[in-house]
Amino acid sequence: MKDLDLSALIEARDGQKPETEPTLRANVDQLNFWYGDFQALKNINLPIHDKKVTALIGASGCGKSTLLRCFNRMHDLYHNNRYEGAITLYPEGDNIVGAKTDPMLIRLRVGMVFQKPNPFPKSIYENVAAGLRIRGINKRTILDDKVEAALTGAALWDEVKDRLNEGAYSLSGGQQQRLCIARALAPEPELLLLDEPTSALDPIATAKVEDLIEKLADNITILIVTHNMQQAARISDHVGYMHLGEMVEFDLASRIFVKPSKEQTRAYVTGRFG
Amino acid sequence: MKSYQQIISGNKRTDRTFVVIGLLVLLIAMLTLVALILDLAIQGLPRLDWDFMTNFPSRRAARAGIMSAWVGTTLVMIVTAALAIPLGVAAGVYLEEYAPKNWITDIIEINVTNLAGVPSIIYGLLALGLFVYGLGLGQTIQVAGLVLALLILPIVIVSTREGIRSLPQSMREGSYALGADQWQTTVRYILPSARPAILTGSIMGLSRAIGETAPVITIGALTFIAFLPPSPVQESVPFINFDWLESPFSLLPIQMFNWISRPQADFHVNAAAAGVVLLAMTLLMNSFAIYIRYRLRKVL
Repeated sequence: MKDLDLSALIEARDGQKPETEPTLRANVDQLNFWYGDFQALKNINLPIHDKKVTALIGASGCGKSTLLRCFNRMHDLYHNNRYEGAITLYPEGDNIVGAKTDPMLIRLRVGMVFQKPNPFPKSIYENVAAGLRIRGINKRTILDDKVEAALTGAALWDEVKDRLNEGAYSLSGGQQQRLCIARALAPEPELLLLDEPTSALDPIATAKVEDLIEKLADNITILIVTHNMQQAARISDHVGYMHLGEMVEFDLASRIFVKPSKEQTRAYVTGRFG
Repeated sequence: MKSYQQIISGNKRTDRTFVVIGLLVLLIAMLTLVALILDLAIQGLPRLDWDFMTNFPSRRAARAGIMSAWVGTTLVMIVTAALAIPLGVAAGVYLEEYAPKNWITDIIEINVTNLAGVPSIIYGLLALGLFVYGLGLGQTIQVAGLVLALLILPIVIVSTREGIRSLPQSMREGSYALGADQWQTTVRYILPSARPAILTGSIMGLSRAIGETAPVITIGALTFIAFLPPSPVQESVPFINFDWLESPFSLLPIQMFNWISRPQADFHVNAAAAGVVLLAMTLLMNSFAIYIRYRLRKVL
């Protein structure tokens, strides 16, 4: 039953999207990661295609969020975390997890949206402008334009344009999450990371965010972690299935959900496991 | 076996008993406080008038006033706040956000907490030896402000830390994920969010400082002072001056202590009236803090 649902979703979507030349935005090569003595990621290989949505799925604790947080060096905020291997960010070819790479530089280039909406205790406007101000952009006219563009891009402009100076906490949960997406979009990141962005939202807000992600993928590369298989099937172009810190299978979404090559993946996506 | 009904009624009885005991305990504390304040007010309020506020101390109780005392208290509180709040907040931020988590930090932490429990007279002795004689700062407003600032520094530090610690980690991650550095994260998001806690701690500290007597007696606060410190504002450029920092001073608690230790009953009434003024100043400070907190909350 679940099988059928997923393949129907894939068919409905792939009919609309023409296949294009694949170019890589990033590539994970033999990545290992340790929390202290615990190895959370083992020999991960994963291509991230440009202007596509790549979804990471897998059971809780499989390392998908850990992998996502390697892409903007979030692990550097805590002690005793160690990377080994490479995540190459194209077109320059910098190694994101390289020892000589400044995590701050990576975070200026790679945006992130978290599981729970985490707006700053400031106005709606200042939340979206936050990333720009950090980059030294303080001119009101430029900020106004970019804030409007980001809020429009996050499908929130019409709802908040008359209350930009109100506190961000006055928004609903779904609006807050789209605000966080706008905040991440405003500095025009090269890659956008989404860590279960809809897990704290109700179904209607989830639908809005999913529509938004599909639309965003026209212009930006997205890597998303999700618990929700239907969501992965609805919005992603490529899917990586992870289990116990390993990348079990990576393929086009249409193959992972319809005809996975490994039995383990099939068991997971059909709901018989995890 | 007991029926569910019996279990529930048993539980309810326990609840009711606790409510009664709790109310009783609360009443004892509250009634004592109310009795103290009422006693002070009944004694002191009739004595309060404009002359009492604007007169200097006198040998005759009826002509004595608290002008030099409340001006001294106000000025010393300004010095205390100006020193303790920035220093305490900076120390709290450093300990919570910047300090490496090792045994040195642990020792500093334990000591900061212990400092809050050191008797205030010890601070007075320290100030007498170090500031008054060692550095030659004299028995002045600046020294009183310094010693009271030291006294309440641990309170400000601890409340700053608690305020910062209660902030969600997701806020920090959100800031770092945008590419912010530690300083930007601290100044733009952490400190503003911790403001209510910092404010509460600062006011708690200042409320303690305003009533302190022992350390200021030790450094030589005067009980009979018939002039005001030089005015902080002047008519010629640069319009403000800091000569008042080096002026000798009196404080409300000192004045009260002096009056209450005299044999004449009229002076005891004066002390009560000064007590009412001291209480009013403390309440004023607290309501100012509540007002700011309310304003901050509205902005968010």
